[in-house]
Amino acid sequence: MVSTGAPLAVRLDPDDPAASALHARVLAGLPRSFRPVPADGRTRADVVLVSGAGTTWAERAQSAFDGGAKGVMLTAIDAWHPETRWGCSAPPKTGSACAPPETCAALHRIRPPAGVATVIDSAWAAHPAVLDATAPIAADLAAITFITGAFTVPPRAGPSGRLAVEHLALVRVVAAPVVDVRVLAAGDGGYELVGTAGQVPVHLSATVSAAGTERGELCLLGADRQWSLAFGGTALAIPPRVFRAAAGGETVRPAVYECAQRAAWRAMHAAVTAAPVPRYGLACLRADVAALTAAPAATASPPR
Amino acid sequence: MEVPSARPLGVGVLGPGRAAQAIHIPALAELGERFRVVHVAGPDAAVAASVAASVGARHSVTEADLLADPAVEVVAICSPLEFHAAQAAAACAAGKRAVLCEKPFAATAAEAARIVAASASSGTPVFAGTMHAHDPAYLAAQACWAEPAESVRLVRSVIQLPHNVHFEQLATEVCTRSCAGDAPDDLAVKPEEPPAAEILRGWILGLAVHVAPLLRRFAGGVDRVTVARLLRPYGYCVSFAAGDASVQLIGYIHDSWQPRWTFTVIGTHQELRVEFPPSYVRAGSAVAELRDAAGVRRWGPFPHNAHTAIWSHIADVLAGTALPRAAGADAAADLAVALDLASAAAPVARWGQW
Repeated sequence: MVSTGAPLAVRLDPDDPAASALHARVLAGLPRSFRPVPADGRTRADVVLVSGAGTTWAERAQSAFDGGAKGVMLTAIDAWHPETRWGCSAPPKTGSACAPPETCAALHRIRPPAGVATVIDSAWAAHPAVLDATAPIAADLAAITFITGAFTVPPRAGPSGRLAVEHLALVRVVAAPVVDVRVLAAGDGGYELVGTAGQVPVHLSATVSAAGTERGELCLLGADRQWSLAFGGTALAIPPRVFRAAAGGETVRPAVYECAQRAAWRAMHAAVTAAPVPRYGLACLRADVAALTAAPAATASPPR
Repeated sequence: MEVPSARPLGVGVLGPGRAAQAIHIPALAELGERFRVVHVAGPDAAVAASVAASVGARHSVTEADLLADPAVEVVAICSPLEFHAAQAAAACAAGKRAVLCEKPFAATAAEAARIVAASASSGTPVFAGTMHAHDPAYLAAQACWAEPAESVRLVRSVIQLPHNVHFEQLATEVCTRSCAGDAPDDLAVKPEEPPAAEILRGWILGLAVHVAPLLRRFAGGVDRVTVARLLRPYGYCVSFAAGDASVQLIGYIHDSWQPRWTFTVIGTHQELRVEFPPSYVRAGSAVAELRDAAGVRRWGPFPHNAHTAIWSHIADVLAGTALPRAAGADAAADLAVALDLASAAAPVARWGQW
């Protein structure tokens, strides 16, 4: 859909040049919806990009809200820190590449004013191919008895805590919030967790691979039907392959050649100009981070 | 390497059930220049006779008759698990040239040791029916895996399959007691559900055991089971730590049609992904992909499936052109991984919670 009004002015995040460069490239594909403006503090912006890199992101987000922004796009928020034993109460490890655990508390501190859109730049949950499939998946959810997701990510994909939050977001959007989370493993090499979405057991993992391209798949399995959502690189517009297999055969959903970031910006534009609530917003992010933060380690068999 | 012998080797099939009919007899037929089924033995005379007649073989109702048959040079043990050790040992003692024992190789480590000892004393190689260890695409790819065991980060096996009967019917026309004119097989459901640990053990020794050699190859053993959940309607999700590696085993048997059988290994610098065809069908080998900094290499599908590959390997070994693979002590070590996992998972096996 092409925007008919004036483009919204966007201020990128000067504290995170890499994220800003990435989003600038994405915004170049939405020239009638957004217009980047200098981050000089003098130019007014309708929408502000806030990256979780660094320790002051919450303050910057709140500052954007307080400054009259109509929308704030949150990206790369590292709100869960498995390296610090489920993160929010313990200090970070010395030399950790993660943001400090204050991030988690900050997530709960920021208060967007009523009517201001907050969109989470979510790598999987925001993808239109996912969102387009949620209704038909919902029609099958009662028949689903197991959900499993396995993702392979390159080292640059970010901390495993961020990935876990992203994957919980995906399950929340396509099925239900994941609760009763137990973390089986988490660290620099990835994570593995289990939980429950609705009444359905969920098993999710991500593994950092120096060799592999980024890919992953979420499967929803039932006795007589299955759904698969398979993803390529999230920064690219590689269409996820979304299909349903049942007695009548395999039904593949339409390919959507759009990256999740561009979809997130389109969602932001819609939220600012037409006010629909984003499917995955700040409240969802808070809930998913809380589920991870409260997660105990799984009961394991004795070492052998 | 395929070097046909001067004449086909005579094979005796112990236990003419579904595995024999839908897997081994078709695989042997594919290698007709190297093997010929000459004798079929099973406790149900009608079934044994029917199956034997289908391949022009003799039949009998006892293993003793089959092992006494001088035409039987190689024995395929397709009988229930509780008979494997005794039958394998008897085949070795009878001086047979080779034995293929369906998986699981044995029910316990002691039984496996008995088979290994019998094999060693007679010189008869005893192969386990863990066919994926012989899949040509997997073999080619794993040979290029250059990382040490301690660098493996993830091993993941996913087996999502329709019920066996779906594929048996695509492989052969199965003869059961009913088709042989006898009473139908007893398919009655047990009135009481066994404990979760017992059911899980059945899954591990019945389904996960397929990849036991691959788990031993890449993960070594079982250090600590982190989760072991039974899935409805039928299946399991088991995770365990092996050194620094996370090992994830998922099995899910469903009522639909779509199969998926994958095995993934992620190391520090390499990534191996194998997609196997379902058992029974003559759909060729797996497709394997190895990815590293140099790029991506792919193998398969090759014409022979893994079952045919086992028999081809046995023929090569007997022709003196190959050394035994996944046989004897190796097979016992593979089985030990599955037995260890079943034991370690028992205390944390659950139905309704993680």
